[in-house]
Amino acid sequence: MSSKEIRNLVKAAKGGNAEAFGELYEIYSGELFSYACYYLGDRYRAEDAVSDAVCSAFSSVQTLRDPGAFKTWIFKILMRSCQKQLKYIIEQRSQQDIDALGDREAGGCDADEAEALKQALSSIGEEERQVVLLSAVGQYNSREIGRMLGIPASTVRSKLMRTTDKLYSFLNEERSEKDESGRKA
Amino acid sequence: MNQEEKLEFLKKKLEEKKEPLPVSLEKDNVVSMLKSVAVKEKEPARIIPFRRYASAAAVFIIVIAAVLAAAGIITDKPLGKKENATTPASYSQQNDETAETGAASYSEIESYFLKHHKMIADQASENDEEFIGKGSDINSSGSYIAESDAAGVQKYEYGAFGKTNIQNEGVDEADIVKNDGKYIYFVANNKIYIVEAAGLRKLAVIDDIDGEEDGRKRNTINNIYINSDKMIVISYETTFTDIESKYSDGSDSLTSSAGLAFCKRPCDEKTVVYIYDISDRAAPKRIMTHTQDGSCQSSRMVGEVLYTVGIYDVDVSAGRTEGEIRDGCVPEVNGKRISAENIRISSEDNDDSVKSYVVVTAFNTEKAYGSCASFAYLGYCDNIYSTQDTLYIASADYEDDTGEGSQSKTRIVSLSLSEESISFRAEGSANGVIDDQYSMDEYNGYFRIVTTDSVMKKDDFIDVSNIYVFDKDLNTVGKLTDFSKDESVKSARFIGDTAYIVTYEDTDPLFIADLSDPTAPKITGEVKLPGFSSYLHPIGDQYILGVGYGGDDEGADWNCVKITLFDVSDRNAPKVADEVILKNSFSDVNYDPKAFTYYPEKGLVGIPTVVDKGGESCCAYVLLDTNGGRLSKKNTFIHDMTDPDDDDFSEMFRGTYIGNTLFTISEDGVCSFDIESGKKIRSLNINRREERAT
Repeated sequence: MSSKEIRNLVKAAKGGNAEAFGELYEIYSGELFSYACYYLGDRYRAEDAVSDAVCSAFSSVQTLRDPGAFKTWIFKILMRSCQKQLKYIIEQRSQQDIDALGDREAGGCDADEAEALKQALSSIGEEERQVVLLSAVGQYNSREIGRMLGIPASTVRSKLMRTTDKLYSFLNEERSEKDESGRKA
Repeated sequence: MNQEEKLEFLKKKLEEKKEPLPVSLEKDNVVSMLKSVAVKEKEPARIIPFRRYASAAAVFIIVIAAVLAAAGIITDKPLGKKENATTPASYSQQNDETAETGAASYSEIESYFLKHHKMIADQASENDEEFIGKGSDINSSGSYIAESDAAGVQKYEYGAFGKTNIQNEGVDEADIVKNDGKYIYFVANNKIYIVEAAGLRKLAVIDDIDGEEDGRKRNTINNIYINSDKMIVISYETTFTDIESKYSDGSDSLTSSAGLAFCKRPCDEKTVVYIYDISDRAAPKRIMTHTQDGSCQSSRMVGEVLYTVGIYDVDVSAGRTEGEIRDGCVPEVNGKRISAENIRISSEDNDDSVKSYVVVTAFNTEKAYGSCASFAYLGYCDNIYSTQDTLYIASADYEDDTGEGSQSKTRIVSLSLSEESISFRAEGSANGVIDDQYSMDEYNGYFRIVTTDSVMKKDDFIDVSNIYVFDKDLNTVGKLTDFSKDESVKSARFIGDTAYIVTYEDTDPLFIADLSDPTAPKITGEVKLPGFSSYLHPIGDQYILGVGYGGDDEGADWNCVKITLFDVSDRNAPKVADEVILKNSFSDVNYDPKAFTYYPEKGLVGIPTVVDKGGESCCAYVLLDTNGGRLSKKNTFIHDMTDPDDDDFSEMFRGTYIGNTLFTISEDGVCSFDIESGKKIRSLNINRREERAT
């Protein structure tokens, strides 16, 4: 979609046109849901977070000042929505569950790789998760992430580096443990 | 595997293992949901129709003025008086033509916001929540630690030392590193460290600006000023209120058929300024706290007087009650509402800036708990430019009208500044948006800006670059539009009557503009080269140095830092005198001019970089020699404080100097080097890991 088409859609959306807003939403729907899923580790909460964010965004579309920045604007709304959901999740889960999440178990099949990813992401801090997901899912660079989170770009780069290393190690140890157990069996 | 490869691996995994989009989030279902919650058949949901009546905004103002005049309220008293002054509430008519006034009274302000609240509530929609906060990790706080240091006369290096890279002499700007020639002060890990330069000894750490343990309050240090024996700390505080975990109908999901939820405002934002007495550098004492509603956008210091500029958003979302609107629609400073005479609500704003105020305060930092002057007006603040007595606040407006022509505007408001009062001076606008504070300048009574506009012509958007010149009343007296087609402004620098402007789309022309005739700015010369500069700095009278990116015919190369020395002695024919390309490097100077240091005594330029060495990142401070019209690397200083046992990596964010010693600073600590030989002298590790663990 050309930037002109996007601007026209934004204009229509600002006028209250839900279809136009829907077209814009569709461009980013995959990334938005992915981000929420990985951030929250719970697809149902993620669904709520995205719905919530979309409604919030549409009703406050007049706060979108730069039509070229639709993606960042809606991502920020989603991030807030996710943080809200995270509080519910934390409140609902017992301490036991939280500890269980931190445990790493070597698995055997492919579905466990998804589980491993989830565990990996839940083992890192919220801000680190935001940074790595904004980079890997949202395709933002460190300056953009810095502005979205209100932290200096150099801090973003440091966190991204640390977190990438941590997650990579986590996932690869999983794999090698799997190999081990595969071999032993 | 290096960093990039690891990140690619992660991206791939995240993509492979992602969950499919649930049916409820498919476009058609989302659209149905939006339609069911918003009022569709009514008029399009605009907050205020003001913008449609562009010139009739003045009508609105005149109507108010007429009402006020009839009520005998308008007098000749100036706006912006001190908060604790005893003059009665009054306003002034700036001039007869526009009859703009400030607010009539709090009830006037309240009605204004209640009206917008009603419009929004009629949409039956949930507005976006306030920004939840710039999270830095919360430490369990204690009082600050004063490292012991003894007395004795310290021998330190006299002479030249690095100062903050500021725009105007006499107007200081806040930064995360300050240097007064004897001590280095820096913000890292949400604390402030005071280090004695000679011997690199840590004297004190201020770590009690963090917020509360339960996480309700979070306080993040933005930056600091040092003024002789005082340290001024600017911080951002957010206070969270409880978030309702159930929606009004008892359900906890928006996808239920219940309709919308009205959530409590998730957080309050405040700017908190702390003043510390640091006469004893080893024992800082907090002596004053100043608070104002809203986040801090920027600040300046002129002498002892601090000026802060912030944005306060009024929450008029559907879930607010009338009482909450009345309570929250006037910004407070130090717990007291700004008086109505110091608030200006007339404006020609577009829809979304109307709900927020720009809040400006002034106070003398040497007079603890003295009074404070303040002023607020409806609007937004993207960038500021300040002289010693005038503040210019620029905000971008993106048009949402259809049709040809300019798609964005910059609104400029000028305020007169003094310790006793802040008052409205003038308002103006220009097509396009500005890049940063260096796109603005005041000289000889004229205010000049450089903008990039997106202009729609026949179904396509074209970037154009413009120069505007305004008089003291912010009337446009001269302009040069569209001087660089299809390019956007990447950096600008005004020196007297000359402007240096870099634009970029494929190549990087450096333009020289002659502004000696304010009614007719003209381009006198240009030079094209690949890449572009993000920041321009004068080197003597003859040269301009640019820091940016290199490139070739295909476009910019984002993986290198290019420093260019332009010979601008002939205004009609600028030339590239020399250039240095740092491969596989990245520098914060491209985003933050404060990372750039000029050493006028030696003709050196210093920039912090991060170099990618085959997957490993390395922090290198590069010193360049600019003497004699040539550019060469004098020395490269490696700041290496990473603990090999720790996978943490912290970037070096600044360098500064005292005499012949260079200091590089990161969240891990400080290193010192000899500038001439390049040798490392010593380092100070602030034991970040240990401190984080406590």
